Amino acid sequence: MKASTRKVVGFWLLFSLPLLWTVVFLLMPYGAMGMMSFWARKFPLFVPDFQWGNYVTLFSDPQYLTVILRTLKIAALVTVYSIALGYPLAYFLVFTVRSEKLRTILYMCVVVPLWVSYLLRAYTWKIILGTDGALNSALLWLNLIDAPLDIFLYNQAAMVITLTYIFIPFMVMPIFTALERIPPALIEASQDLGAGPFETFVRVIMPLSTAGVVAGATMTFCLSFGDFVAPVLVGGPSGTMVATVLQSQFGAALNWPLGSALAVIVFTLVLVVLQISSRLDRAGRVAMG
Amino acid sequence: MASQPIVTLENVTKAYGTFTALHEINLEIGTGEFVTLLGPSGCGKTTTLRLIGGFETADKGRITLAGSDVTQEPPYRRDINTVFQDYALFPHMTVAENVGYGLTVRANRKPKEERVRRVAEALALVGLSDKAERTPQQLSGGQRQRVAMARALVRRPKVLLLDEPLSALDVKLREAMQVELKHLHQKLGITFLMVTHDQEEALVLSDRVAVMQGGRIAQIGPPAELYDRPASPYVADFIGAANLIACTFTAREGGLAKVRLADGSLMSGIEVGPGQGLEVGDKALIAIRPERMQAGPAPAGSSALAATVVNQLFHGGRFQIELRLDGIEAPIFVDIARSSVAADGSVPQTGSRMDFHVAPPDVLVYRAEDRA
Repeated sequence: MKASTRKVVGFWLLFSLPLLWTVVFLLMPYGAMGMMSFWARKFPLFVPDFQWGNYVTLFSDPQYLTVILRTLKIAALVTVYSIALGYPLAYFLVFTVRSEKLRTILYMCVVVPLWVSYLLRAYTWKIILGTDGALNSALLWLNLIDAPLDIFLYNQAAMVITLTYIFIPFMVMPIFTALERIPPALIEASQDLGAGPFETFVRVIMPLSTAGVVAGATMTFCLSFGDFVAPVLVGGPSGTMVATVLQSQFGAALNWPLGSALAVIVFTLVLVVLQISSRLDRAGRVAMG
Repeated sequence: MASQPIVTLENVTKAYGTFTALHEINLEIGTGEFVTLLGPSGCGKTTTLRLIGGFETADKGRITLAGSDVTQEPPYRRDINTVFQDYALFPHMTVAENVGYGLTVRANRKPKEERVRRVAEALALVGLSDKAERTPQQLSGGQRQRVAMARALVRRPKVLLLDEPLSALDVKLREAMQVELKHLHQKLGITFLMVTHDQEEALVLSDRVAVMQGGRIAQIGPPAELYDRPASPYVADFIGAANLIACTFTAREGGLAKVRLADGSLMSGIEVGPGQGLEVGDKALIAIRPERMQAGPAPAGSSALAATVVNQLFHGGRFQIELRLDGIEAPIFVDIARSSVAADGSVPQTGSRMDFHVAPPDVLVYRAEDRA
């Protein structure tokens, strides 16, 4: 066998399966999704077509726009809360905990929940926040209320809490890594040059951990934006999110073309977020060298 | 010390867990002096520097700076700046921003014009005026080292601490930077305190060198004094090269000692202080610099030795001959200038016997148990 032939055979032996996988399970579904978003619905069937009707419906019917905006808002809130809680935690682990062993243990405590079923973790909050849940029991026991309250569950706040809880490890991990990579000598140099601890944080530690925050924010935002379980379990009617609507278009509403168009919009929004994040990330990386 | 002390350490002790890094260190550094802490890793030199910089706090003792007690002060309240070992330049700032950092901090914020002027001056001082807008990643190792110098000097500190400032540079650059460092010190008149494990660097640059050993200062003094009169075999061995030869202390005549080596040869007329605690019959150790040994038959007054040639090492300007004295394990090194070899035409051959001699003032004697 000639060297060039051997190369070609080797290439296909190695890559044919992954390439096939990518085409069948990624590219073709995207293609189908894009194509079907232009189809028309003729009850009870869908007919191939090329028309913008589905998109017009999505942008003119306030119902859809409201859900998209609500989803964006919830994803943004989850991201902000995750940063607010995750950054100090990562900072504490890296800079305050002196013992290497204790730091590893605490870090594992943050990460381990990721190995527990996601559904289970979301369901836990239903139990905590429910009418006969842990929160109500505690308040009753403390005599702060006379009867169980139903205000905790089935609203947007419950969803933000649940999603923040579920996705916070994705925020802590990259920030932890970024902070750990900052050479201690840089912090000492800043103090040596007259900057106190707070000024050192603002001018040295924060800029050098931006890349970690961007990575964490991207994951948290995209994961919450597409989340399907939390709205179903703890969201209630006011907590409907894009994924719920999408699911209903392919299920109960039986409008695949409209669902496809909505999926294209969600897909595009996520791509935009990733694009922004990669720009910010590049800036952060330049800073880190 | 001629001048007023700017930094003093009084009985400073520092331990990490069960490891005592510093045992009651006492040190005075004069204004404008260039002092070097020299020693192998783990000797406490870096800990001493970090205590003075404020990055560690002493367990016991007192540190003063320009007369005031700074033992408990954090680094940002000390009028001291540091050139860090790996330079510790801020990667997210340009060279100019790095250098200007110490003039923009809240506690010491200077007006813009002054800042710009002083940054430009500092960069000119280290010859990097044209690199102001680069980032540290775009600079070579030597240039980063200069930026670190400029950044520390721009604040005009009372004391400049240098933590192995040249160790990351290659040999040629290191030698060039040594000269620059010395010029800078003479020009600025700031007190320099440097840490290094490179004895040559210490000798070349310093007004005084403190040799450290196991968390204590083994000896402190001007380089020539340390080289000519090392207080212990450890110092003799650490500063320059030294042949340490075991022997027996056989007699004391006035202030002069007589010793016998394992091969039976005698050396006399060696200076020995009354405080050295050597008694007749004691095991002793003599130290001789390789370049103080002369080849050839001994003139009157010098001690003659004969040994077998084991190896010849060519060093360019000189030959180093490795010798073995009968009955003594440790090799002995003798330096021979190349010109003197060329004169009689031959390098001593391996296996041949070689006569050499040492003048009594070039021999130092110690108690054998003082060996590190």
